[in-house]
Amino acid sequence: MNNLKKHMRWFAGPMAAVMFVTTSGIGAAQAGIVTTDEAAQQQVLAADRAELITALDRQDVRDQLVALGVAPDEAVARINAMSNVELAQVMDQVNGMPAGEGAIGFVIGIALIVLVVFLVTDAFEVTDVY
Amino acid sequence: MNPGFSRGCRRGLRWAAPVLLLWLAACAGTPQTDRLLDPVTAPPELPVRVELDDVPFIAQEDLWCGPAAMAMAMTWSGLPMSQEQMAAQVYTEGREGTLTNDMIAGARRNGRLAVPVDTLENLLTELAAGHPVIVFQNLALDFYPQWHYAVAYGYDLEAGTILLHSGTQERHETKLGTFEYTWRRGDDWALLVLPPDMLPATASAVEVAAAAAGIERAGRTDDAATAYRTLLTRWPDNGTAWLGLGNIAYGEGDLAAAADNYRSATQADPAMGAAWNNLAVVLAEQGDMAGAREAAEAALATDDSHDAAYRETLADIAAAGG
Repeated sequence: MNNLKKHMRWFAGPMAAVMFVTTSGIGAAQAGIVTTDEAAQQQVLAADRAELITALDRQDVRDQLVALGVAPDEAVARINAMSNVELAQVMDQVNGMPAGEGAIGFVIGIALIVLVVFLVTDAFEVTDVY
Repeated sequence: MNPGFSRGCRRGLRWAAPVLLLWLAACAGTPQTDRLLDPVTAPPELPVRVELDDVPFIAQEDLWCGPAAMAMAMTWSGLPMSQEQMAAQVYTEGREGTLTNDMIAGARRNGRLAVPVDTLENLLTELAAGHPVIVFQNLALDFYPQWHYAVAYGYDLEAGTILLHSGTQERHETKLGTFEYTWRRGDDWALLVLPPDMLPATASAVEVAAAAAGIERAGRTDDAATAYRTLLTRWPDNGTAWLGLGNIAYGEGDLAAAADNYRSATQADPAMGAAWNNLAVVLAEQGDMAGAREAAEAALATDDSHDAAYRETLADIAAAGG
């Protein structure tokens, strides 16, 4: 079972290449060749999830980036420049982002308190807001 | 927790958020700064004062601290870019910010070495070597973050300060301790962006090779080849660099050069199965089936995580009569 998983992981590269062909070409694996990226990654600490990144995951991230306003070709170019480890991180970031920045409509009193607070923390050189 | 993106970019006053637990994140101390500013523990070879005067300043437009920082780094590295051009490559409209990995990808797509820097000492050492560094900060607090990218271009150990091109401020001088707080809340993310014929002052061979492989992955093979060759001037026995040169040659159809480079890789790192495997593939294409089989078996003998691929290579060779 492990072997099968590894086998499929190896094919993620070429499959991604097939699915994401653009006019500029994709720098992905050629038949039989182990890419430098993959060889180098063995020596760099790799997250567990990186082993499970599939072509569908890459398509997923592309769709999410497009939904966030990135042009499709541009989204593909960005993803193709990332290793599996980096892609796994982007998947987390795009999925689990904080809902929004400070909501509008807070009462002025609280806003003034926040202002004073940051002036104080800046004065103590713990923050660098102003 | 660093969300990996920058949003807000010092937009000034941000309303609301709970104001209790204010000091929670504040009082953890600044160990890196303390060590660097103490003459007893400071690294002796680090100059007291550095101010790089060749790092262009680009005042950011609203929300574009990431693109502006990248534009400054890229321009310094020899490739003049505007923040508009970089925004197209790294900014994400829907998040009003820039993902840290998109910054890395953006550098690679332009043929630049993108090397992470994660200690304050290394950051200052890179500055001392003449290299500006993009830094990622949370300027506010953990529960109420204000994410921001800036470009470090100098420091002063006597005054205990660091110099940043930040937002619309060309010369933002901040206490090193304060910087350490804001940087730590960004999970100590910083990025060195170098032209491919330059090497970092602090990174290891593994890190530089990974950065070069990133350029290759992004399709900038000429720049990647330059990076690998530059790497080999400092680390002549780096197998990954030879493998990279081999893969690039193979991609260009130069089998002879590919075979040479793969052989060099196997000599530099006999345990790198990928080098043996790729050598086997090329030898087979050249018609040297005996040599191909030998190399393919050597790949399997290394017993690394790509065994399935090596078995397939061996099977292909056997099928072709090797």
